[in-house]
Amino acid sequence: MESHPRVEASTRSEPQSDSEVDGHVLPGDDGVDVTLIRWMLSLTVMERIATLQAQADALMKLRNAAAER
Amino acid sequence: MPPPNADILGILRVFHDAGVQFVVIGGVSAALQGVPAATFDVDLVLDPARENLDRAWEVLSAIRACFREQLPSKRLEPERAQLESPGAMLLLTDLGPLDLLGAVATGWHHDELLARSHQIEVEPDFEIRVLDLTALIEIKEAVGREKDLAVLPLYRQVLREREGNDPGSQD
Repeated sequence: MESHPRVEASTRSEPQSDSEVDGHVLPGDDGVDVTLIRWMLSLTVMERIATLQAQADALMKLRNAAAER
Repeated sequence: MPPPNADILGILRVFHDAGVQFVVIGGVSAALQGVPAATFDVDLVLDPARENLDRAWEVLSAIRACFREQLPSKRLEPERAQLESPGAMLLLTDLGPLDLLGAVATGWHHDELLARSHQIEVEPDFEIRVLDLTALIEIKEAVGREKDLAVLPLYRQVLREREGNDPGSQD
C-alpha cells in the first residue's frame, strides 16, 4: 500500500508559509483545504460539473436514507 | 417525496440548445470556477429581451416547470409575464430544481451581471456565461446571511489559488 507523508500538527514548528510546511500543504487559519481547491482547479469544466452532480446525488441519497430510518 | 437533484448539465444544455441567453450565478457558477462546494439547484439570470424570454418560456414549458413553493399540494405553472419580473422564481422541473432570478442582492440585473461574467467552454459548441467569482463574493457579502459568509474564505482562497490557464477562470 502506498504510504502518504503526514505532518502532525503537534510536532510541527513555525510554518514556512501560511499553507505549507516542508512541502506539505496544510489547511490555512480559516480552515480552507487548499488541496481540495487545487484538485478542483485541476479538473476540466465538464469534470467539475460531473463532480458537482455526483456530490449532490450522494448527499441526497444520504439525506433520503436518514429520513427513512 | 423530496424533489430530485438538479440535472445540472441537462438544465444548462437545454437552455443553451434553445438559444436562450443567460448568466449562471450561485453555487453552480462557483463550482464551475473551481470552488469545491456542493449545491442542489441551478441559478440563472435570463437576458430580459422579449425574444429571449419567449425562448426561455418554451424551454420551461418543455421541462414542465412549476413553482416549488406550492408543491406537493398544488402544481402551479409560471406564467409568461412572470419571466419579466425582477423577483425570483423558484421552480421544479423535469430536470430538477431551477431558480430564475431577475436581480440579485446587490441590485444587479442581467446587464450588470453580464458585465461581470465570462464565457466558459463546457464542450465544443457548448459555451455558457458564468458570473465572475469576485462578483459572487460581492453578492454573498451583500446578502450577509451566515451561510453565505461562511463560504467566503473558500471563495477567496480559490481566487488566490487560481492560475491563468484554469479552464473556468476569468478572462
